[in-house]
Formats: sequence, C-alpha cells, structure tokens
Amino acid sequence: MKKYIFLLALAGFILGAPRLSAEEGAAFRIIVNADNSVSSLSKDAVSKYFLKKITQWDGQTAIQPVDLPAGSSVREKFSRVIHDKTVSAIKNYWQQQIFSGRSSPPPEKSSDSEVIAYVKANPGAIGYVSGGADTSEVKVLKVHE
Amino acid sequence: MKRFLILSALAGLVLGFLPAEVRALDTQVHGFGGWAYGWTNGNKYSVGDKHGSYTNSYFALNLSASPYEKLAANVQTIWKTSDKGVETDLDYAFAEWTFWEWLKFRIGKVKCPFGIYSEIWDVGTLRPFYGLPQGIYGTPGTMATKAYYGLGLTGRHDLSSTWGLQYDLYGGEMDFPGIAETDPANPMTTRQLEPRIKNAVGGRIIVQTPLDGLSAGVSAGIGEIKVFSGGKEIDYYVGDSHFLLDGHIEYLLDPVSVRAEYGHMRKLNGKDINYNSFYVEGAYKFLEHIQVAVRYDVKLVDFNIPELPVNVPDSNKDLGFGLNYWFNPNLVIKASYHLIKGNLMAMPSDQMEYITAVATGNFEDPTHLFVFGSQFSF
Repeated sequence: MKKYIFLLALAGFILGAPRLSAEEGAAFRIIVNADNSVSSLSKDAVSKYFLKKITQWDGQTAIQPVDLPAGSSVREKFSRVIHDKTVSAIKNYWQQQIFSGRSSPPPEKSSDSEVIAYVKANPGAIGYVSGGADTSEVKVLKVHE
Repeated sequence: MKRFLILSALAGLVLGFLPAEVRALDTQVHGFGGWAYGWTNGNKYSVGDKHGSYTNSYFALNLSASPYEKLAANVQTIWKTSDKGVETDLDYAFAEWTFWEWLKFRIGKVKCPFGIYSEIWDVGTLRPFYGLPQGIYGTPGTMATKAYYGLGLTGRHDLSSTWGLQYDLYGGEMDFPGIAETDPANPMTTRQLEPRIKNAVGGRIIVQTPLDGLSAGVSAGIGEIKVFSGGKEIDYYVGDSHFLLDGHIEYLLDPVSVRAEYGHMRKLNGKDINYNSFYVEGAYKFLEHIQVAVRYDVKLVDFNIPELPVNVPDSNKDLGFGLNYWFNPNLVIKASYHLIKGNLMAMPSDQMEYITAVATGNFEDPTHLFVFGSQFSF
C-alpha cells in the first residue's frame, strides 16, 4: 500500500511540475510599444526595468513600466516568475524607494486593456498582460533566462 | 518657522507654478501614519509612561512629482501628537536633477542618508517594531537625523549583474531632535535644547551583494556642533566638533528580515563624550500575516565631563520581543514587550524625581515597556 502511495505521489510530482511551468509561461505576456526595436529580453533585465534599476532603453528613451493592481493574480505570477519575489516583497521595495525620496513605483492600471492602451500610447512603455489578452496592437517580447 | 515657510514656498514653486500639463506628468501622493499605546512600570521611555500613554500618533503626507524627465521634486510633511499637543514639521523638501543614474544632484531639505533608518524614520510598515532602535535613533544622544539642509550628490552603479553600489555625499546643516534637560539656572525646571550641526559634511555607501536581499553600508559625517535653547545659541559643554561613524548590514528577503547596526558618535571640546551603540534585530513572518520579532539594542556613553554628577546614567540596554499582524504590506498591528536596563533613556518623567534619582543614584531599574499600536502607509 505504501509503495502505491509513494508511486502515486511520484507520478503527481513528475506530471505536476511541467504543467505548473507551462501555466506560468502562459499566465502573462510582456508587451512593449509596437515601434520598440527590442524583441527579446532576459528575465533579469525585465526585472530591473520594472524596479527602475535601469531607466533607459537605449540611452535616450525613458523606460516606462506599468503594473497591474496588487491584487491581480497575473501580477502575482509575474512577480514570482520575473522578480522571484512576492507582490508583498515588491510593495516593500517600493515603500522604501518612495519614502526615502529615491524613486516612485510604476503606475497601476486596472485591466489588461488599460495596460495595452498605456503601452500603445507611450513609446518607452513596457507592461504585462494575461496570456489571453488581445495583443495585436503592441509587441510581445520573448523572455529568456 | 521661517525656514519652514521658505522651504514650503520653494516646494510650491516647483510643484505648483508649473503649467498644468507639465504638473500632470507622474505626480504621486503617498503617506503613512500610526498610533500606539505605551505603558511602563515607572519611567518614561519611548512611547510609554507609568500612566499609560494613548497620545502617540502621527501622520505624514508625501508628494513627489517629475515635471520633466530629469527633474524630480519631493516634499513630506508630518503631524505628530504627544502629551504636548500637535507638532508639525517639514520632513524634507528638495529637488533632484538626474544627470545619469549614477549621478544625481539634490538641493533643499534633503533626506539624510545615514545608516538603515534615517531616510525612512517614521515609516512603520518598513520595520518590525513600532519604535526605532533607541540607541542610534532615540534621544538623548541621538546619532541620526532625518534631513540635512544643503546640497548633495547621490547615485547608484551596478558593478556587475549581481554587485551594486549606492552612494551619497552631502554638505550643509542638520537639526538633531531636541531634548529637555535640567535648567542650570533653575534646577527645578527643564530647558529645551536644540542641537544643530553646522558645516556638516557626510556620506554613505551601500554595497548590494550577490546574495539576494543582503546589503551592507558605511556612513560617516563631521561638523561643528552648536546648541540652541529658546532660539539662542548657548555655551554648552558638548563642544565644537562632531564626528559620526556608522556601519550596518541588512538581510531582507521575505519572510525573513535581519538588521544589525553599529554607531559611534564623538563630541570633542577638550571634554569629550563618546557614544557607542549597537543593535541586532530579526523578524520572521509566517502564515502570511503573522510576524515575530526580537531586538537587542545597547547604548553606552562615556562622559568625560567633570561637571556632571557621578550618578548621571550612562547606559541603555533594551531587549524587545514583538508580535505583529500584517493585514497587507500597508497595514500592521504591532504589540511588543521591552525589558530595559539602565536609565540613560528610561528616566522619571517628573523633574523632581529625576533630580532626586541623580542625587541619590536611586533610579528605577529595570524598566518594563509594553507597546500596542498600528502603523500604515499608502
């Protein structure tokens, strides 16, 4: 009996792990303005752009990150995958930046469509939306390790 | 007050008189506040006294704007209540010009880059205990202040994909928190002292390490110390020169936070006073909302002043245990118990009792402090 439970658990682990990764991969997409020449970025670069540790695309155009609200499940997945931190930890980072007078967090838009509209309207914008959002008017970036 | 008005006007000029379409660009309003009840078994210490103090509350409003890509303006005002009433202060008001990310110029009343907590002095949602470590940030003998008046340079630079530096250099003048002490002209009363550091020069460097969440820093400063009472400079025995050195290490990675900081302050004038302070503070969050915290905070003073009575207290040792409930990162309820040994900072609130204790050496020791309160930010 113990052997069956062990095998069942092992099967669950093996089958469950890749499914989780696939879900995370499809959970959100990173988008930029359609005129942006960049087509792929590393995870680390995306993280630095959203934390405003890097502030310019090419030495001229300002990077304008945009977030979904703190309660959004898409933001939670984005935060865990890109920053490797919880949304709470990122909120703490921004509190530190705000109140020490060093930086301010990206604006928060309430929906995918508002994020897309912001990215479409701002040449330096970068955002993320859910996997099922209509991204035909912006550019979807490839993200690598 | 005059300085407050001038700085407010400057902030108004930067924030208010810009064209509406420019003002609309990236303007943010934030704030924070808190309230606490503090009780002790006798002495006055931190937010507590023997009667149980309910009147500890504060609220700060923070406004920042980037009217142009390279220009940022920041202003923060704070209101505090205590048993003396409501006090208002301008925490900071400064403009910042970004040449590059590695070099920014600041001018005005600027957040003082010192140690771990100076820049986020009253932001309770960024620390595990309601109050700051008293050794470095408390009075008397505080080593830190919130802001400097003057100009400074700041910046950050990535040394590699994992190592990073943040640095600050500043010059100007600094107000330190005021303290009440026995008036030599009338020992039955107290007088309010306002220490000010003139011609101050200082800096801080923080190293971000490859270990996620781990950073370490060193701060230092020098200047001429002047003491004012009732708006007039007085001849005070703490002397002419002021030297400050601080080292800190911080590990912040949810759900763990560990901080340690050492501060040394020396005031020289033939008769010197040496302050040494150290604290270590750890906290752990579990079940998403609950946090336990512990802190050991020590301050030792070496008075080399023959005029002082022999029984003037010279140490403060505070062992604190905290239990917090975080609704989210912006709202927390905190409870803590502190066992304080020594009477450098835990002292009778009544002046007569203090004078008697100094004369006889008979202070109430140890002090037990219980704090219950809430802090928030947005």
